[in-house]
Amino acid sequence: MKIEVVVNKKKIKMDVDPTTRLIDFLRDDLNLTGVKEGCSEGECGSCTVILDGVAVTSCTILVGQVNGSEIITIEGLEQSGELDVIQKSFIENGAIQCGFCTPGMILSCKALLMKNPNPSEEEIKRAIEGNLCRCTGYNKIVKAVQDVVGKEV
Amino acid sequence: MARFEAPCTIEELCNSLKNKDNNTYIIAGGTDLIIHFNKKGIFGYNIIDLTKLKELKEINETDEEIIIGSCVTMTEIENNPLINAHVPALIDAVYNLGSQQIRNKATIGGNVANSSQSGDTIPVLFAYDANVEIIDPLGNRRIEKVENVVEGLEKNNLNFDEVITKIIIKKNNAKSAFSKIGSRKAVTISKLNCCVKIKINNNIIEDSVVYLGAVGPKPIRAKSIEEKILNKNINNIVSADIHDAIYMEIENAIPNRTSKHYKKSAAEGLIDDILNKLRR
Repeated sequence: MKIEVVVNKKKIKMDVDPTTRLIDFLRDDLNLTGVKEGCSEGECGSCTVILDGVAVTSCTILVGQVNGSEIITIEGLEQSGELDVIQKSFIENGAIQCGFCTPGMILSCKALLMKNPNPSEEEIKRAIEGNLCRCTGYNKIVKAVQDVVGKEV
Repeated sequence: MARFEAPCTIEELCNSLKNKDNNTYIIAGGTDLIIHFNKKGIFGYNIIDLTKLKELKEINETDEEIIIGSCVTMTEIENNPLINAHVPALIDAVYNLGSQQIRNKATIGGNVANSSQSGDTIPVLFAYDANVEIIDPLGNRRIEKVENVVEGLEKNNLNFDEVITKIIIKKNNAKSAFSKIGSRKAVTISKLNCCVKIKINNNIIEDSVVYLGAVGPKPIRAKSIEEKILNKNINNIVSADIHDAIYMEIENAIPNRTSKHYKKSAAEGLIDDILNKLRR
């Protein structure tokens, strides 16, 4: 099946098996290995990407379903060599340790900030409830998001 | 290669359904189905994707009914003022369903069709005596009670070539609330859930419908709890007043399950939680 998607602002036309999971399409066909596979059942959030403006788990979506959609992965946040403010904030706040949850965690936060530039602590917690982190805990992550409120995202 | 059809019109949907075989799956949000494929090692299947059908993504109202397209997502329900005004328990149910990512994809039609014993919208739809509209390959539409469609344990009573197009909920001026308990606070599968729908006149509960979910294949109507809360003052009633009825309902529902002891006391907390919400 021929699909047309915009990934990280780049238009991509490709012949794919439509029943490939979105995560496998992004990692294997497009080499976007920032999309991490954790639980494979939509629980851990490592494979989170932004699909048409909202956070989704790419392990529970078939690539045939995203035909005509726009997708942002962690690789798409960097602009001409400069990290996005939310990425910088994660680094500055020590909201990263092993880094495995980080791409998904950042994209969940990014999707929140795109909709709601001034989220409350509760809203931040709810936005990342589907992202598991086993290293830093969540306080530093919440703090990293609070730190970018009011800044350009 | 797999056949993947994403009909954009009802006519195209019917054509896809005409050619549907046993190896073709109907997908909406996919948050349950794709995990199922993965767990069971199913591959080489064909797909009919419903999510490009505009008609299935709308929320409408008539004078008597709220009509929710089967492919409306949980996030869309959560943010819909019509549903908030008329079916508050459904807002409660979708608010804590899965995670943000799951709610952004999962659909109400999928929740019904998947017919999980832990499905969170199902006790609410039962309590509202909701209907679904079902379409067949010839384009014939029929109305069926949600209660008759859901068999439970991931089985439904739809024919293999039928699709749920709408969820239809009658408007009434009832108050309602839903609550659930799982193994953790967020992103949790219900070990027990409950929907209560009541009418209140001068603080007195006049009409009551109570459904308990995840204590059997599909939600059960808890008649003895309904009777116990009838004619009570909403501001005074607490679960301790109806302790015996709650314990009896759980005992009758799952007499041979060891989890019944936990679920009895859990149900009490759940009812208190719901009574609090009903006072909002």
